[in-house]
Amino acid sequence: MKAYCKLGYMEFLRNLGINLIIILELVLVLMSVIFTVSSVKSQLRYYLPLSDMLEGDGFYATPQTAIGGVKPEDFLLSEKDIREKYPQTKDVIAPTSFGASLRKDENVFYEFRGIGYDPVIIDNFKPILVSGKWLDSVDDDNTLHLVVSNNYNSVTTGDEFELTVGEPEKKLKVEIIGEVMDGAVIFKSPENLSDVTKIDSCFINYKLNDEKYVHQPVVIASQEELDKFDVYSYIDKCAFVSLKDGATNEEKEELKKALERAGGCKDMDDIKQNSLMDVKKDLIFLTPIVFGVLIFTVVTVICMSAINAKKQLRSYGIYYTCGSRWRQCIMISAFSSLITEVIACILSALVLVLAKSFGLLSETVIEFGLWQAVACAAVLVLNLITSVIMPIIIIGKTQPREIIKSNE
Amino acid sequence: MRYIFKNIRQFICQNSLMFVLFIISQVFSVLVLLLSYGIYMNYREKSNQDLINTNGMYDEYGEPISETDWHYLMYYMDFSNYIENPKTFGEAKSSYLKIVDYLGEKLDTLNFELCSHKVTQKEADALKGVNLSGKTLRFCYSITKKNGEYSFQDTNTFGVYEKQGNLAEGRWITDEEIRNGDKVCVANPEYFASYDNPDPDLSGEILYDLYDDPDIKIETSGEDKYLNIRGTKYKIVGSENPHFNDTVFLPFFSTPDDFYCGSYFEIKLTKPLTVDEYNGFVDLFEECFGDMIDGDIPEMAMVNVDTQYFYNTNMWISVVIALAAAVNIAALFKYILSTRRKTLAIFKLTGATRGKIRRMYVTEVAVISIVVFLACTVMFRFLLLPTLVKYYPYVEDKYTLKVYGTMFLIYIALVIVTLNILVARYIRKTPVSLLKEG
Repeated sequence: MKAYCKLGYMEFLRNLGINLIIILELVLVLMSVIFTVSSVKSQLRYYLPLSDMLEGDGFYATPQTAIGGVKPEDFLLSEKDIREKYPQTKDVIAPTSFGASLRKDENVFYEFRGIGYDPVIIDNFKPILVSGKWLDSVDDDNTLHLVVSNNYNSVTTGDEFELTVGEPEKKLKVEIIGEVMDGAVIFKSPENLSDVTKIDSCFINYKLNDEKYVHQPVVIASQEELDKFDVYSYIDKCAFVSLKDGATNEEKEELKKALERAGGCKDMDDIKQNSLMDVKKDLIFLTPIVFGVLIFTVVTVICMSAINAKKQLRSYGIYYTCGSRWRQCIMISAFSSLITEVIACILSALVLVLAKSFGLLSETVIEFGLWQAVACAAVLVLNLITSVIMPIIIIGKTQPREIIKSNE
Repeated sequence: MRYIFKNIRQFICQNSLMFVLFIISQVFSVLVLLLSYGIYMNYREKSNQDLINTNGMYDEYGEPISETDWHYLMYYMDFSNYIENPKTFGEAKSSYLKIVDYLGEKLDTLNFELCSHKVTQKEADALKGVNLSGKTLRFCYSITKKNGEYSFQDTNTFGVYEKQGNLAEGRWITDEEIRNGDKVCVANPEYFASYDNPDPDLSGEILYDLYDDPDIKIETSGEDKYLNIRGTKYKIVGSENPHFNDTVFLPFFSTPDDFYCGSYFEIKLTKPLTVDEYNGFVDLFEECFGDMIDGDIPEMAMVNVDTQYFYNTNMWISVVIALAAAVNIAALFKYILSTRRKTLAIFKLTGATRGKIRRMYVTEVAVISIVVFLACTVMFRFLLLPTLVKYYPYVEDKYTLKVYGTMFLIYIALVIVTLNILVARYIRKTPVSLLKEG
């Protein structure tokens, strides 16, 4: 193994010029794969976080607490409330509302509308931020972490406040850890049940201008932290409620009636079908691009492997003459290819980091996550396999003497 | 020339695999180039509605904003503010131009009105909520910006007027006349003759104040008619259809500075604004006309930032793939050059100059590239484009002969320049070093 590594490294250095070009090619291939996967993932960004919910049996509901025909005994204020009253409930994903009068000091306080997000939403859907960080990476301390929208009060990342919570009242330290870009899409309950036809309907552009109508900008918190610090919150006109597997029709009907009494509901299947149509339409746009990138990757990988194999052919002939077998020569080629791939990976990471820090990728949906990593790994494995197969194809039944004698 | 075809024949026979890969890379490069153009044109031409997200947006009446409500914004400023804080045209002139500059290419036209006199309390009360048309003399303006210059005549508003036959006789004012500040105008002299017989307003009250503007009168000199506004004479070069008889069009730069800003303000857009642009426009509008603004600036459907970012990503994908395809071809040709080092050494030893050798190799690849490009273009046009239209519906009529020709020139130019650099570096080596390479 050590010998293969050493010889692979020597082959890499011997054909440094062409290997540098191959590294550049690989970097570009990995970039295009990362960009394409990011593009595809961005089209599924509304559907994916809630796909389990949408594909199961359940309802979209608009529980309300305002006066409007809903009796207090029919209120469904929280996930806990729904689960306790209706044990056939499997899961509830619902943004909640909470009061956020943030006090700076004795005389200065700011009124915000608080929205609480479930972990599912926080982990899978991150709005575009102008500063700071999202709620998915907060420290576990005695502070309530909030992300604020663009606002006329100039409250921004880093500001600290106090919030009075609980019975008996206590003061809670609050820190603004991020600021959402004006016009960025956030998960927020639409006004009316009829407005919700697909999952996209629950994702709206929240703008500074909206303050003029509701007079309060928005702060977003994690529901887990709200529960931890005993901040009162309630479901506000948007809840995805799923049923346990094996729930009977009576149980389903009971839950449906309860949700209708609480403010209204519609079948999850309708929303799922409309959402899938939307996703399909969006992905169709990407089909030529994905197809093109796929073919491009294969063509490039084959070309690079062919060039590499051809360049190393003479060396293989000499190794064979010295006692090595073709199989061992191929291992040397594979190790040389592995070195190329490692350098290409490091360079790609560097290029991405530099591009991000210089703001070149700021107005794109390009990110690096599990999907992108898997796609890159697939490309690298393909490259490795091709670098093993290509010498076999090129050498074929040729004799080493002919290889050494050839003009190439 | 014979060496070029000989080289190509040798290339095919001795290095079939590399030749096939070379052709495939070229085919792919050409297709990427053509496809990238299609994606870009589709993005540009894509229905503006596709970029809009109006989820959760409502107008001042609580009605959901339609996705078509992006292309114009109309605002009526409060007349009652005029009594106390009337803004003259002289004060507001630069503000109108600032807004035009700010909106830039996205602006189709900025339309506004001026009043020739200070609005009285009676007029303000009478005009509140009442359509201005027919009740007061209106001075209308329409500004846009084309090729970096303000344009006042060539606007959608005036264009529509002209096409609809709103000009009864004469002509419209030209941009040159406006920029030069010439004293010309379009008005209907018959309108001023009707001063003595004004129409009553909806309540039946005759608003003499609106019509009784002794500072504006018609004067005749020979065959020419003039509109005399407070001693300044504007030659009437065209008169309107009597239906629009209450509107006068004066050149922007020769309008008297002591005119007052009217209530009507409208922008028409060619593309939807982003949220940042809308906020910037509102800030600028409030800065320019803050004391005349009453109530909220209307909502507009705006570009969904997430969707815009998605399209930007697709552009980046096209760029990266095009770059990689170019590097691929360069790498393949570099390898091919390395296989011809002995032939190259012999050419140099037998007296071939660097220039000749470079031209030979570059022409060889150029010939292959031209044939490949033409074949790919035909294949793209008749096989791929019909399928592509299903995914990118706006590209169908974008691929003209001129576009293909331009792409051909760009492609061949890039190939020739890249190969020239590659070959020039390689043929600098001495015959001995070329022969020794192995």
